[in-house]
Amino acid sequence: MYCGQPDQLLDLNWNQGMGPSGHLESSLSSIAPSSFPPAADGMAFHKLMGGLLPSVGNSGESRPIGVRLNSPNKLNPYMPKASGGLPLSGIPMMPASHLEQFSSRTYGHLAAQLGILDAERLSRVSTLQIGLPEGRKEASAVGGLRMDINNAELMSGREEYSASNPAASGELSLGGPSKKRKAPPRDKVKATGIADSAIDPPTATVEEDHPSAKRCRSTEKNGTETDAVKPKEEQNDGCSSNKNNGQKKQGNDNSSKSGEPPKDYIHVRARRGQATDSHSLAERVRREKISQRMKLLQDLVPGCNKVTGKAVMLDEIINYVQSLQHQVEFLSMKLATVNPQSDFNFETLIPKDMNQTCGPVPNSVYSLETSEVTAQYIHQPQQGTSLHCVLPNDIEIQNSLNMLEPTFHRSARQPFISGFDTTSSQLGAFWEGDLQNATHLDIEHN
Amino acid sequence: MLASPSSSSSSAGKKKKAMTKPGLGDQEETKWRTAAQQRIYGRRLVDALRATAPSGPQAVKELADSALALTARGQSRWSRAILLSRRRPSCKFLLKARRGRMQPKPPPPVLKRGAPVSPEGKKVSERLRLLGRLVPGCRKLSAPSLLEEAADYMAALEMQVKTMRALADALSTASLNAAEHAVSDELPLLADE
Repeated sequence: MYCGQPDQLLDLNWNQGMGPSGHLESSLSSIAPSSFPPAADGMAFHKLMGGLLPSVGNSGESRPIGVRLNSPNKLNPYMPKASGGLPLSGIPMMPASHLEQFSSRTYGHLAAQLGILDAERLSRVSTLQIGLPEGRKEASAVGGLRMDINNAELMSGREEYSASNPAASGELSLGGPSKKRKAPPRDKVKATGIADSAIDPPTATVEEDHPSAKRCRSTEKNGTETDAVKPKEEQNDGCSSNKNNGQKKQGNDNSSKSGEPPKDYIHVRARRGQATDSHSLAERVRREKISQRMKLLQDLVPGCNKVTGKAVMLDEIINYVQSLQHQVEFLSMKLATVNPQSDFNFETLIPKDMNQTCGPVPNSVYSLETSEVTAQYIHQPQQGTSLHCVLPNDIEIQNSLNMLEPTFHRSARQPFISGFDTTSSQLGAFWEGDLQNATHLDIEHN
Repeated sequence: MLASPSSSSSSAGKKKKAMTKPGLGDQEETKWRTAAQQRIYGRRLVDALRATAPSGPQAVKELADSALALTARGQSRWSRAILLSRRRPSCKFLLKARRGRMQPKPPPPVLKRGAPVSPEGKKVSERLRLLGRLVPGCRKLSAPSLLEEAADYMAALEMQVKTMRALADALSTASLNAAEHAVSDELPLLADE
């Protein structure tokens, strides 16, 4: 009877639909403290079941679970079996098929939470209360219960229990392959931390688990760091030096891990779930900002698409800014020499197309001037900021300053001058020195 | 006085809270690369050149930079720094006071923590400091805002170079043309004498 009724109850509960995360959180939070005190073993399971079941969600296969879990008779025998490894065999385990069906349903995070409903877990929890010196296994179970969102925990627990329960190891890949990937590198780090923290007074840590669990779930739902909060609490506890060291190691490890990717800001994003506390979170945000800006700059600087790394990129940026500044200096020098007379306007000067500054302007000049020399003089300054452009500037300066323009033009344009033989001789006499200078410069330049 | 297309009306004294933050990249690029901006700047520069006969290349450069900063309408830190340092070189304290009021966030260099522990991080922080020295008014600036300023400054510099080059070329051709005419006009006169 007891087995029968819960079916309906469970059906009702489950058919109501997946409870919101808060529901589960509250149930779990209510479960967590009660599960740990050794006095409430049986109660713990009941509460666990009662709390967890309603929020499991639609699952036809859950019936057997509910039945099995709810039956205290079956659970009780496992209470005393704390020390003797994992009494998993005794539990009417969910057949693998059920678990697979669980996982097949894309409940996402709830699926992860469903993992907690796993009988194994619960049994482990129960055994934990009695036999703490189980060490890591229990610790990871506790960790799994605490950070139920964290599938990495589940996976780590799975891996450790693989010897005893090979069936479970492959099944609860509820979070999907991505979570599994995260598990191995973090497993070692986390396990130590968890073990240390679990051995220490669990109540204190558990107390803080409620907000952490809630937060963790919500954060996971948002796709942000999942275990960001747990180490924080461990830090807050300050229960043991081991724990702190573990957490610090985590912190350093995480910060170093997340420090490296942003250096290579083009390829790699900072890994998810790496930030451990508020400090590193803020740092991570800051680093993201910086990498964003660097990308911006990369677009501005020409030819920096293939450059990787902050240092090289900054190098390029600095060079580019310096070159731009030099160009401005050079152009200002040029402008100073070719300084305007007062009777011109900007619109008349600049051609309609501002984009083609280097190209068509000399063309118009070419059309005016027939000589190559002048074309050279005008063409060169536009070619860039090289220093040889200074020479025509000097020539221009001299010309303009010494009123050499007639001679300049005369020497430059032979056909033009040839028409003025008499005047040219006179002018030549007048401008003798300057003409010589001009021709000298011409020759030099040619 | 001039209608800048993408910037709202803001004097140098106003705080720029969220103006440049949203749409960081696109805004800045389009801001400086529009032809309108070039025309505005060019006109301003020409007027300045015409009004004050510059004594030398440095004066021209300063004029050009001031004009550029004006065109930025004081929305960026470097433009404000240029303007305030040019207008009243003696009023540096004014600059500091304004900075204190205008800064929405305090920019202490937080580079010591975290990243620059590694040798690569040190190189990065060195280069960031160098960049801060290059961009006017950004010596003691945090990394993200420095990079932002640098992006704006680079875009502005590009525009400046383009405009000045076009201006210089046009002026040189114009002067040559004028000289041509002058020569053709002069010679008969000289011949007469």
